[in-house]
Amino acid sequence: MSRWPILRFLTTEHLVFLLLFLAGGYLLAVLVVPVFALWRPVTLSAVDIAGQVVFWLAAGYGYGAAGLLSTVVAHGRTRREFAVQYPVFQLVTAVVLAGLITGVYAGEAALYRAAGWTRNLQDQRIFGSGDYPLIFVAYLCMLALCLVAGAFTATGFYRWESGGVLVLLPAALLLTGGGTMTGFFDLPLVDPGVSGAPGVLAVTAAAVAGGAVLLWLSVRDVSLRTRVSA
Amino acid sequence: MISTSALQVRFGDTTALHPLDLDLSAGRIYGLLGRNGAGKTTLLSALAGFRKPSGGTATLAGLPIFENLRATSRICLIRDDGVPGDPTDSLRDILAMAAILRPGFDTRYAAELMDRFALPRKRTLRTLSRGQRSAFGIVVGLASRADLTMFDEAHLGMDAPGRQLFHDELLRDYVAHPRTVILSTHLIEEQSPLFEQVLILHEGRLLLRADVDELRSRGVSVTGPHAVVDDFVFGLTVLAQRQLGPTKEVTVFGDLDDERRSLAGRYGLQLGPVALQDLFIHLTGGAA
Repeated sequence: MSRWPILRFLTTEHLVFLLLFLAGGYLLAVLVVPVFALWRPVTLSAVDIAGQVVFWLAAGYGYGAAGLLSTVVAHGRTRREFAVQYPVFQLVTAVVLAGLITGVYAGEAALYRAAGWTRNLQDQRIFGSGDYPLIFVAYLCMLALCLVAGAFTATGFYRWESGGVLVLLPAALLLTGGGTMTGFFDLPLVDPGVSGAPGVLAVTAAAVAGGAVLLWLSVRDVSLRTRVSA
Repeated sequence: MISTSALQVRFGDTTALHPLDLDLSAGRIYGLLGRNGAGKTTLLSALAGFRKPSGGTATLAGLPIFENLRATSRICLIRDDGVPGDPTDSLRDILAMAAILRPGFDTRYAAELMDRFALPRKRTLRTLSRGQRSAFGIVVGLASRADLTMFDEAHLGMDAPGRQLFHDELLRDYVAHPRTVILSTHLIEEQSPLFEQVLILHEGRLLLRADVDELRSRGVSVTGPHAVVDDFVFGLTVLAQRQLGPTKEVTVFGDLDDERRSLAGRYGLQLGPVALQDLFIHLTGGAA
C-alpha cells in the first residue's frame, strides 16, 4: 500500500491547481498595472494589494476540508490519516505558495524599476519592498494560519453542526491575531506583540499546532453525513 | 468475512439499528431489503466505517472496521446520496483520486466502464444528470474491486438499459473477481435474480435472513372456494388474503409438506408461487 496517499493526492492535484490559479491571478494583477498607468501614475504594488485577497482565499480554501474529509473516508481512508496528512499538506502548500508569491514580488520590483514607477507597499506590512526573506515568512505564516483556521472551522461545523459556532472564536483569534501579526491587517485593539521573523514563526507554529489539534478533535470519530431515510 | 456483534446505532433518543448479530460469509451477493427507515443505510454506513457504532462491534475478516485502515481500505460503499468526489471535480479527476486512495482500484476497468455507461470524463460531477451520477458511482464501486462492495440504492435515476448494464457488469466482474457484495434496494423483483441470500431489516431489526430460493419456496398462494381455503390454511402463517365473490386467495408463509400439497389437490385448490416483492411487502406489514 502506498504511503501517505492523501498527501500525495493533494500535492499532485490540489497544489498544482492552487499554484496555477495563484500564478494566473498575479499575472492578471501585473498586467492590469500598465493599463492603469495610462490614466494615473503608479505608486502602489499590485502584488501587495492582491495579498489581501490571498488571505481570504486561503481561509476559504481551508474551509473545503470537510468535503475532502468525507471524500477520503468514502474512499476507504481513515480520519486519523486525514488528521495527519492534511495539516502536512497545508504546510507544504504554505511554503510553496509563499515561495511563489515572494518570487512574484521580486518580478514586480524589476518590472516597476524598468518602467520607472514608484512601488509602495501597504502601511501595515511588516516587511519592506526588498526584504524578501521577511516577505516569505509573512506569507508563509499568513497562509498556514488561514488554511488551518478554515479547516477546523469547516470540520467543526461538519461535526457539531450549529454547535460548531463555538469554533468561530478560535478561528477569529487566529485570523485577526495572525493577520495583524503577519501584517495583513491593522486592527485597533489587536496587538499580538510579536515582531521579527523568529517571533512570528514561533507564534505561528504554536497557533497552527493548536489548529491541528482542533482539527483532530473535530474529525477523530465524526460520522459521514447521510440521508437517513432507508 | 463480515461479522457484527450486538452492533447498535442510535441517533439521540432514536435507535436506528437495534443490537444486531450477523455473520456473512465471503464471496456471495446479498440483497439487503427493508422499508424506508428500516435501518439499511445506517447498517451499511456502520459496516463501511462511515459511522461509529453506538455499541457492539463490526469486523471484516476479524479486523475491527471503524478507523482501521487494514479493513476500510478493503471496503467500498456507494450511496445513493453522493458519489465519492467533490461536485466541482471532473469525473477524470475523481477517478485519478480513487486510483491514488484505493489500493485495489482498477483504472483500466474504470475506463472501460466509463465508455460502457457513456459517461463524459471532462464534465464535473454536479453537471451530470441523476442517472449519470448513479452510473458514475457504480463505475467507482465496481472498479474499486473492494473485498466488500456495497451499493445503497446506487441505481437511482438510471434508466432500464443502464440498470441492466449494471446487473450484467456486476455479475461479470463478480465472476472474474469474486468478492462480497451487498445490494440495498427497493427494486426487489428487478434485482432479486442477483441475490444469493436476502436480509430483511424492519424497524432496525433483522426480520429475516434466507437464501432466495428457500424464501421463494416458503411463500405460497392458495386459491379456491372461500370456506375450503379457510379450512386449508388453518394453523398456517397467513400473510395476506383477499376475496372476490366466493373465491379467496390467501398468501401463506412456511413450508408446505407433501401431505398438505396433495390435500390441496384433492380439495381442488390452486397453489402458486409468490413474488419475492409480495412476500417482502407482507412480511413487513403489508402495503401502507
